[in-house]
Order: sequence, then C-alpha cells, then structure tokens
Amino acid sequence: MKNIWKIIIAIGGTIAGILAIFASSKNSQSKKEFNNRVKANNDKLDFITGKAAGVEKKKKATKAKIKKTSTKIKSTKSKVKSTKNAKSTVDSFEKKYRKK
Amino acid sequence: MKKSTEKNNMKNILLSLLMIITFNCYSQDKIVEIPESELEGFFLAIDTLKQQDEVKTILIFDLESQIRNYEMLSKQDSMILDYRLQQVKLLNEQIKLYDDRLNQVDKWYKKPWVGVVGGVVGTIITIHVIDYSLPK
Repeated sequence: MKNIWKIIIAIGGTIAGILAIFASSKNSQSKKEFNNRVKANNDKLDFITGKAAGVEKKKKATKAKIKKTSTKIKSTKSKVKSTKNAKSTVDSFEKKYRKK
Repeated sequence: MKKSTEKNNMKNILLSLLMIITFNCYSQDKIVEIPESELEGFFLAIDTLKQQDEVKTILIFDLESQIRNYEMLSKQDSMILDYRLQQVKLLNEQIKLYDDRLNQVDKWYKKPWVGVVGGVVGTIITIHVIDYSLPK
C-alpha cells in the first residue's frame, strides 16, 4: 500500500516539477513582454513630454512678446489725441474757400 | 472815307468784345485773399491730422501684430492641450498594463505564504508516506 503512495507522490512530484518549469518560463516571458510594453509606453510618454515642454517654452516667449507689444500699444495710445478740432478747422476752411 | 472809319470802329468793338469773352472763359485762376492766421491754423490742422494719421498707422500695425501673437498663443495652447490628452491616454494605458500585470501576478497560489505552507505540508506528507527516519 505504501509503495503505491510512494509511486503516486513520485509521479505527482514529477508532474508538479514539469508544470513549475513551464509556469516559470511562461511567467518570465510574460514579464519580459510586460516590461517591453511599459518601456515603449514610457518612451512615447518621454517624447510627448519633451514636445510639450518645447511648446511651453515657446508659449512663454509668446507671452513675453504679447507683454512687450501691450506696452508699446499703451505708449502709442497715449500719443493719440482727438482730431475733432483739426477736422472742423479743415472743414470750415474748405467751406469758406473751396470753389463749389 | 467815313464809311471805312465806321467799319474799322465796328471791327475794333467786335475784337474787344471777343477778347473780353475769351478772357472770361479762360481765366480760371482767381486770386483769393486768405488771412495769414487762418492759413496758419489750416496748416496746423493739416499737420495735426498728418501726425495723428502716422500714430494711428503705427497703432494699427501694433494691434495687428498683437492679434497675430494671440493667434499664436491660442495655437500653442491647443498643441499643449493635445499633448496633455495624449499623455493622459498613455498614462491610462500604463495603468491598464500594470493592472493587467497585477491581475496576472496577484493570484492566491502565487503568494509566498501559500508556497511555504504547501512546502511544509508536502514535506510532512512525503516524510509520513515514505516513513523517513534519521539513521539511528
């Protein structure tokens, strides 16, 4: 009776051993695949982050340009004066002296 | 003799009339007298208008350039938004990858304590079955 048990344990052990070897090889393969996919994803992320950083830099430059132009516009606007009087002077001169 | 003098006079009168009509028709340049202060005021107004025209031309140019700047900024914002969306998509993919991996790895039979218990029980069973004992 004990001999049968011994045989059963031996067979079970062998099968378990083979299964363990297969499982470990499959596991390492799936781990490798997972690592590759994660690496590819990380590479894409790095690429996009770099691009976004470049655009952020350009955006900063554009904002500085906008600020500079705003200052220029403000100073030019301060030079703008009403031309109402000048226009009325020209109009009255025209009415007075221009031949109809 | 008298007839000839009359004829001559008529000729002269006709000629004079013709000359007056011709001068009236062709003399366009009339001399207009304008007071100096008024003329000065007119030129000052023209100068003001010229200067304001220049200022406003510069202002228009600056405003157009500012519009272009804002268009560029909007474009850059759109690009950044696009990149951020792509980043979000990639990070979601990453989360899914880790989740799948965790689902693969995180099984009850893959836990270390299960292996320890299984090993101990298996060893006990084996020892019991083969009736192993240390040599006396």
